[in-house]
Amino acid sequence: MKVERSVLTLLMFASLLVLGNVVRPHRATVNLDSFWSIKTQAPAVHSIVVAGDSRVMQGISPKAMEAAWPGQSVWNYGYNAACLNRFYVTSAAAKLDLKKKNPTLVLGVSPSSLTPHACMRSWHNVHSKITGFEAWWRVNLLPLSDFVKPYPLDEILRPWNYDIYLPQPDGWWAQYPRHERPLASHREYTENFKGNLPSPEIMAELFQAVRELTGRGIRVVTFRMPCHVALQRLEDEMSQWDEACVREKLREAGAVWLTFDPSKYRYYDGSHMAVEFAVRFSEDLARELQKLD
Amino acid sequence: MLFNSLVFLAFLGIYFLFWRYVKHHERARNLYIIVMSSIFYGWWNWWFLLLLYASGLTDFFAAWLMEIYPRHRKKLLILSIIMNLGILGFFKYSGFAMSNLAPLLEPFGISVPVPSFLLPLGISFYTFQSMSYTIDVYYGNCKPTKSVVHFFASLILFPQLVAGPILRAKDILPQLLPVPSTTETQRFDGLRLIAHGYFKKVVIADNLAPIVGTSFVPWNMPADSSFWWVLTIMFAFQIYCDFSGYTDIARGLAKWMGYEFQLNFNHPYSAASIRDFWSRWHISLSTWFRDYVYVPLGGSRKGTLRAHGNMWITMLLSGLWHGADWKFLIWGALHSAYLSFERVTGWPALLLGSSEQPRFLRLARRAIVTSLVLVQVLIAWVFFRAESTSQALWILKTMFSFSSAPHASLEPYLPFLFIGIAYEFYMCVCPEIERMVPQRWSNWIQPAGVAAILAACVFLRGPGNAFIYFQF
Repeated sequence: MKVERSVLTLLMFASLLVLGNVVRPHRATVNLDSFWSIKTQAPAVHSIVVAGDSRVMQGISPKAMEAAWPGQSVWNYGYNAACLNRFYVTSAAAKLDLKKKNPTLVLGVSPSSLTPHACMRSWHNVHSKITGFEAWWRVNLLPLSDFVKPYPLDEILRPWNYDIYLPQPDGWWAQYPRHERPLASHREYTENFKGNLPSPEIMAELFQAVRELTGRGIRVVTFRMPCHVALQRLEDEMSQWDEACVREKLREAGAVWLTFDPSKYRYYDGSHMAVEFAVRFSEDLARELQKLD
Repeated sequence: MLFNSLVFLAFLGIYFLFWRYVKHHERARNLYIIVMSSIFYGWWNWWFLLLLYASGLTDFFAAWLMEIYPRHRKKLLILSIIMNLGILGFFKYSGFAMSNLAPLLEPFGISVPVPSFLLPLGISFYTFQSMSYTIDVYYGNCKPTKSVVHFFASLILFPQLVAGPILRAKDILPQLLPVPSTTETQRFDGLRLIAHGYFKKVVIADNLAPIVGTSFVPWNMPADSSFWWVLTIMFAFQIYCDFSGYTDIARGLAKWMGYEFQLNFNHPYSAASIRDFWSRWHISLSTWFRDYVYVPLGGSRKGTLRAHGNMWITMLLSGLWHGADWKFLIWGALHSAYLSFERVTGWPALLLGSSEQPRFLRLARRAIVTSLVLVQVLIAWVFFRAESTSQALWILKTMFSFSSAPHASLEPYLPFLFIGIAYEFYMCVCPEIERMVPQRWSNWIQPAGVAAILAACVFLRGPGNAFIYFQF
């Protein structure tokens, strides 16, 4: 029987689509648009939720934490420019399964995450508004479009020119930078705090939220997400940051404060950790949390 | 609706799902074409459908009345032309005319408002197609149809509606009468045309579009001659692949429906003269201007000087057809100048020499002539693409200054230019290669080639863009 050439073509095309996906250079494990909705729409099944700004989002791998402390279910709820106001902190806590033993909300606190600009620019603001059908579409159907996603040809042809990022299905943004430039963020942070100091109102919201959550039996663990020592010094100076006071108020509200040595890790732009040190830090964090149990 | 959109693919699926049922009844078939094509066009703007209907109805009734009242044929033709050109002029040229008139009237204290209208999609294409119907009926080249449904189905047939090829009523009306049927070869050829059309559009044109688009931003222009030469070549391939890609898809879809649209591009960058270029580039438009402007003006029948004049008028109008701007007029004027120079000197034939010379020499001479033609075409393209005539002049000055300056990297886009050149070269020699392949192999090799082209459209596609010629 002679097969019509058009049919043969379409069959061959379908095979090539499959083959193209088998040999596809995988640059991301999760569709980028889906990543944000998967993060926001995560169900309340976790024993540990880590929350904070991009330092947390890039610097904490739930998988590495679960490996270091077996039996836990960890979720990264970090967002770019996240603001630790009441809305965000309670949204993060809502991903915890309160039936689990010691459900823990881990908050990475930084001066930047308590500023009015962060409250306006937080990516959480945008993505928490995507609900209903659109969120369902992004979580369930959009990943199918990866099947016909174009190859990143320019990246393949000039790999030395591109940073690689692999958004993970557990909310972690794994970053593989091509270059390490530890002073890259200095200018941004110098500008960031001009007329934009950490706000007493946002801090009050954070302390109140922590008080409420601990009252509901949730363990709240807080810490300063490490960054390059020079940047941390600049950040403290520009933001007039009184960490001792913040730490004390958080303790009063019922939170636990953990301290990490920033010099133990490396930061590709001074502010964020690349994959290798993010994994190392996540393991350290998990071990510290385990000690609290 | 864009050919390169998901919604169009869904539309196409629905269209061909019901097409198989309606195609057996003439009236149902033509009504189906009208309804579905109206959805296709109205997806962009429903209101402008009224304009399309108005233009079509004018020409249908003008042609119909010409048969009933032969004594008034001329008046009816003039009425139809005024109506068509009036709509076109109002939407496309009134702003340009007024903006040029305003400074002239200002010294006399007369202030003229400069209107700015949203240009109806494909207005130049369907107006010319509709107008050609009445002109053909007037000259007796086409018999008027008595069915408004039949006429409208020919006018609005969606594959060619917004960017051609500009069909002639005498070619398409007879095709819409019998029950359309397709052979295995037609279906495969249709699929092949569609695949190649998409490849040209989404792989070559869309991947070149970002660098071409950003480079012509007025405050972002490097004074580097090599940059502008390469960029102009990139634009030449972008516009060619964009436009010919569209017509390939249109022709492929027509084949699937059982119809034939004329060839609109025939490897124009391999032309051996500017005249040859115009017999290969946007063939349906250049033959339209030849048949409805150049020949009625007298063509070359009324002496050499008049022939040059007629050719200049035709080319200037062709430039103006593309857009209401001096740069398009200059583009048309440049091509007129090239053609006049070619007619006077006959330089391509002189350089090509006799056909009896050795094959190697013949090919070398042909390459030189083609390159010289290409340089002329590229220079003209600068006017076509530039944002203004002053920008075009600045770019041309830079191109011939042989200067260098820091500029945006062209590296990421060069692979797509090379793909474009290699593809075009392959398509030129493709028929010869296919002839060498034994039949039993070609039944497998051809589908594999088309499947590979389709897969390339998926994996190598660039950022989605509208087709350039939609704006005309």
